[in-house]
Amino acid sequence: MNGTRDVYDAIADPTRRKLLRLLADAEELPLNKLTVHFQMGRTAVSKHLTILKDAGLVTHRKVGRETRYRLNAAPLMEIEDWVSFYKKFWNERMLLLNQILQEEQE
Amino acid sequence: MNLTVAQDFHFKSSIEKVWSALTDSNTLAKWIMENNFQPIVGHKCQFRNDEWNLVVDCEVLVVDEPYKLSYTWVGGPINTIVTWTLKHEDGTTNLHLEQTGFEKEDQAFHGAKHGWVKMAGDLEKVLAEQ
Repeated sequence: MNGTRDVYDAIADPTRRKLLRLLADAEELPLNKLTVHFQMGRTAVSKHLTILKDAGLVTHRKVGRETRYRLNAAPLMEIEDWVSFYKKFWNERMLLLNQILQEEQE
Repeated sequence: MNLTVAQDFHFKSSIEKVWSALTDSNTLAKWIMENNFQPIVGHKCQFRNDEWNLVVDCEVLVVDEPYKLSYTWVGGPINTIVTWTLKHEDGTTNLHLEQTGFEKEDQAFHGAKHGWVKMAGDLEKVLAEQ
């Protein structure tokens, strides 16, 4: 993990999740192209991008006077682990539930 | 990125029987965990398994017998909502599960991530041994 901020913390906010979705659909985007999708101003959007950068979820580079942002999806693998954990958890629980219901039938 | 666990299950039992298994505390203890669950909106409860050192805090959000049940499911660093939707068709009860995460910013997110990951590992082992 290269980020200094917790990934869960970074994606706990709906604005930041929307930023990640926007960046997932594009190769890279400058701040003004991201800001148009929000009610808030560029300073506020920029603060959210900084949190995503600290979590290692977003990288940026300067092109002339413009800063362009890009998604780095690798830390999201941690979240994928969570999803696969619960898929398995519920599947195992359901086998037990099925047994209980079948016993009731008999 | 996928932040929702969505799964469908099918049972030969009546919709009332499946509903009862989802809402009766004693039955839930047999297939999920020990708990003090009650199907009353606003009821706060816990699911716990001391062996796995797992405690899940719940608050009941929706009780629409026997069609829909929803509650928060907060364990470790993750704040999620579990929603069960039931439908009876042609002698089969279809049970749809949706667990969505990260909808709220909450102090739970800042908590013991490492403890949670360790617990998940232990649980995987326990389940694998069954």
